[in-house]
Amino acid sequence: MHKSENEIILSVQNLNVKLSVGDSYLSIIEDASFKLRKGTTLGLIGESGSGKSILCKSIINLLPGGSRLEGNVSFYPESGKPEDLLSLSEDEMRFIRGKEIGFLSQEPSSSMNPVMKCGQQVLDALPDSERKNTDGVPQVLKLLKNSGLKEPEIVANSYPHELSGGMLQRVALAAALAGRPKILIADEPVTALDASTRTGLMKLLHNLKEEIGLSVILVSHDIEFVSHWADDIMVMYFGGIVEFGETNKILSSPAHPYTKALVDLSKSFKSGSMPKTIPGDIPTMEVTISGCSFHPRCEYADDICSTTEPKSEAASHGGKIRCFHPLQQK
Amino acid sequence: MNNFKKLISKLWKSTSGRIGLILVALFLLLALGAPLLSPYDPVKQNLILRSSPPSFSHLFGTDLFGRDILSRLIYGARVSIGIGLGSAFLAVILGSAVGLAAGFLRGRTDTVLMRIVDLLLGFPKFFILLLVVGLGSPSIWLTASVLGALSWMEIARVVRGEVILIREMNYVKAATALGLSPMNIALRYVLPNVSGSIIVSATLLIGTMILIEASLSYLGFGVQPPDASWGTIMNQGRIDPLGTWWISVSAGLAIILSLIGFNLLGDSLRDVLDPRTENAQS
Repeated sequence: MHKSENEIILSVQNLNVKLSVGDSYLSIIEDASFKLRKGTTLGLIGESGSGKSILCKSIINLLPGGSRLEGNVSFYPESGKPEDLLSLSEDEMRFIRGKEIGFLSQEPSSSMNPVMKCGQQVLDALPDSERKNTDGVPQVLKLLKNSGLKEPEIVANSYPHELSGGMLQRVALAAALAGRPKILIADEPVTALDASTRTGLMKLLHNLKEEIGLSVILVSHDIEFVSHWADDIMVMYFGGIVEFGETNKILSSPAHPYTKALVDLSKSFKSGSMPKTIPGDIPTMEVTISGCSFHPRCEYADDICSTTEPKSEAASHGGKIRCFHPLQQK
Repeated sequence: MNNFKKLISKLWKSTSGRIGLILVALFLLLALGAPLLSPYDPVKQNLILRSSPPSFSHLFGTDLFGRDILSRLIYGARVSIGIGLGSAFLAVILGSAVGLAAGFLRGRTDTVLMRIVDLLLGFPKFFILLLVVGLGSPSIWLTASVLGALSWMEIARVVRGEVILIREMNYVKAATALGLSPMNIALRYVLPNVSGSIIVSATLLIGTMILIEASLSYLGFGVQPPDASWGTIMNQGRIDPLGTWWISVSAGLAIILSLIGFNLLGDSLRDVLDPRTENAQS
């Protein structure tokens, strides 16, 4: 482990996110806290609707107007004081987006402007300083090439509908990295791609991460996929982070019953045995659940789970956990 | 240029698109090539041939001053279509700007702008036109400007509606995540993607503008002699509608054909440019 890996680049403390629905507010993220270590990949796992995307978007304030964010999101730049991202104005946030924190969304085909050539869209993402001496074209071609596109000139001159999903996601990656961000938030970057393209893109992302010292937040609903690429893992359930820790420790000895269920599921897929599903359904955000939000589906739940909300505490594997009955280490 | 060719060939596939294209091209050609195409000088009076009915030498007859009506209609196309295009252009600029601002910024800007639009739509357009054009000294420029300034509201509504849809698109979110400025996003990521609707409404508006201008000129408030629009020419048939029927009929024919042309073209453009109807077309 490099020494720098213990340096923190992004820290989220007690983040609460509420979205406005009609006249009222709906609580989406409750009391989320985590840290992203410099140069590492943090995997964010959760079922659809657990609030993963909202959590990611709230970091660079891409949420719809009328959303309420409370808590603290600190970004630690290479030099200077840490920035409290939640206190920035929309104008100030523009200099964080793309330049300090990049964002790669999950749908490559819809995330490109259909009436603009791909090269131009990457060019748009270049900081002004990069365009001072040249028109920016060599930088764009280099970025496309670094994203694994073999014929950058042709790609740059193509409209999005002329390219495949895999190629488009590489263009989107080039654009996301054009501003030389220190952090890349990849929101299910390969979910919409087919298996062979998937691995290629993830390898590329991994290599780029090593090369330019990028820190990555990798979002997925697939624990096996994430555990392959992530140094740390954080598990979300119903808008809360239920468990957080180093990947190998979480995988070998998950402490939260929900994490354990997910790990067991992926193991049984591997071994070919009949998977044991988690009883019950994922609750929708409109529902209020008293106590621990997982207790209706949890086999270890007792009275306290249904009345009191568990706090985030140190877990035996060195990470954090929100559970009254953490599972014992094997 | 390639896209333009593709668009034309798509339009050509449907009957209405074909008729629209031919009519609009014909009128544009007449307007542009008036000096070459008109058989006579449109203002030269021939008092011996006053009010003569259609004949081989004067296909559409002559007017009360013995001027050749065909030539006057061809020159009139310059005025009528010119005013139609000019006022529609002005309406597009104003309407797109207001619609884009309202739809992209939302919030209070949206509310204020759209209430202004509602208010203006509530005014009887034609009477304001009569008032303004009647108070000023009527001219081609005044008529076109006033027409445009009173007709942008529908375009603003259409553009706002489309912008509200487009600004929720992933590529707009992605552009925001890349740190692009809101102005840049509005003008280069949102506006080009609503241009289809703008072109369609503009084309349909040209026809409406030609009709309103003709009504104004027919009443004597629009274009003044020696300039003549189709409405002005039609006005001359008013004095003896049965005796000199060919004057109103030929001017009316020009107005109707141009209206059909622009409306068919607009409708076909809507079919071709709207991605939601693309499958129905092919």
